[in-house]
Amino acid sequence: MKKNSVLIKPIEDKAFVWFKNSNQYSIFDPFLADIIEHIDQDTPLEIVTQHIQNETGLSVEKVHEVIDELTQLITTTLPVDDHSQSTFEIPEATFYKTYYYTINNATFCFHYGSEYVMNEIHLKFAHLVTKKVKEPNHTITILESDNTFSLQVDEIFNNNYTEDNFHYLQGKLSMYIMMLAYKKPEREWLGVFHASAISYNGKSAMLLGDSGNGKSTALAIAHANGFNCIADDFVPMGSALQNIYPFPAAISVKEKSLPVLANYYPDIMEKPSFKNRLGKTVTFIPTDSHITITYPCHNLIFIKYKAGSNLQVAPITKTDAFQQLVPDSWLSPEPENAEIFLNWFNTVKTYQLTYSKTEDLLATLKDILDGNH
Amino acid sequence: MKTNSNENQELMTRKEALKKMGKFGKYAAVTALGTYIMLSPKKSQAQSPTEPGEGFKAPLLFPPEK
Repeated sequence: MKKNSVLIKPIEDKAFVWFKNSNQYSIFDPFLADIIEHIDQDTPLEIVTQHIQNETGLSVEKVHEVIDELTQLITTTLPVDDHSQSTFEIPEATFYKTYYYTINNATFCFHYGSEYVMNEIHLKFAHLVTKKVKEPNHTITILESDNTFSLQVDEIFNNNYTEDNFHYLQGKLSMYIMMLAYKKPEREWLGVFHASAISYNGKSAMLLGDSGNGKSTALAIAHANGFNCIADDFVPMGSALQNIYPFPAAISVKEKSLPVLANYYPDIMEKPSFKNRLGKTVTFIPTDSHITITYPCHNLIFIKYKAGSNLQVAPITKTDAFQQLVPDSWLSPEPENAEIFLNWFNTVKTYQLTYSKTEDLLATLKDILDGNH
Repeated sequence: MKTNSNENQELMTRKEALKKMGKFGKYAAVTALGTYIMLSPKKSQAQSPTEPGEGFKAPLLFPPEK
């Protein structure tokens, strides 16, 4: 009986494989991927063994080891871990502050339990504040007690997070904002990418790279120079059309970026900011990314600011790009979405961009979006 | 099919190791037929940690052996 526990997509000279039971991806030599497909399709073991022996000359024992290992990859299940804990209760708290926001025509009421959670979340959405309404469409409560944080979304989600996992609370909150504002359940989202997203003349690109490489700073510079800001840090993609959706949060930039950004935002020092628990100041630049246009995205640009460097821009292989993209993304575990994701990834262009001068950055982004690279 | 208890123990250990490795974003593994790369997406949506530069780097476990 066929198990259909793997998807295999040939990309470049490799086989990109998705394992349904663990929602993991892998890159294999096509020969190994072919063996995986046979194991998944329950081809008799002796036929698989003979095939591998004929092709490689390995001993039966070695071949069985390989088959065991590949079988484990297919069958291993990984539990979904959303980094929350629902086993202990946070006592009811008086709300520190309540704000109402309009996102895609829906009104959200946010109750904040402390100044810290208000600063961490409200300042990103302060530009969307609206007046109090009697019956908001959705109510979200974020409380803090003894370095534990709880997130409650309407009557549908209520979990706690440790301080170390606060960014998962923020991620879950952001996902619920998108699901509720666009009335799309989680299975209708292909993934969420840890990137910044821009558009220019109707074409879009995601800027990716390790934290600290300057994604948000590049986004803010591009936004001040005629590019449209689609999203900062959290880029959701719908599964139906593989369009990226605007995430309405302000751009968050670090203290060290302020001098360069002051060239483009003369009032940057007056923008909302707060000092986090590590004593670092984060400043928020509101954008118009709450305008609800979605964009097809066929450019992935791995970006790096390197002081004093010359401009370097070149295509990179899909194999390289995939290795950087997947571990930093949430990708839907639904089989149909995994297939759409692999098909979409096969269509994108992938680049590495290293720069030090902002004019180089802007010219290169325009070139890529105009199709001149 | 392995039936020896020591080998079962070994299988359990390898399975547990696989589960543990699922928590990391990326690792390379080796079979007698060559290396391959395993990539784990995040199991839940996340934003950048408060202090950017921390928390998103995926360690490379078990680099390919020569």
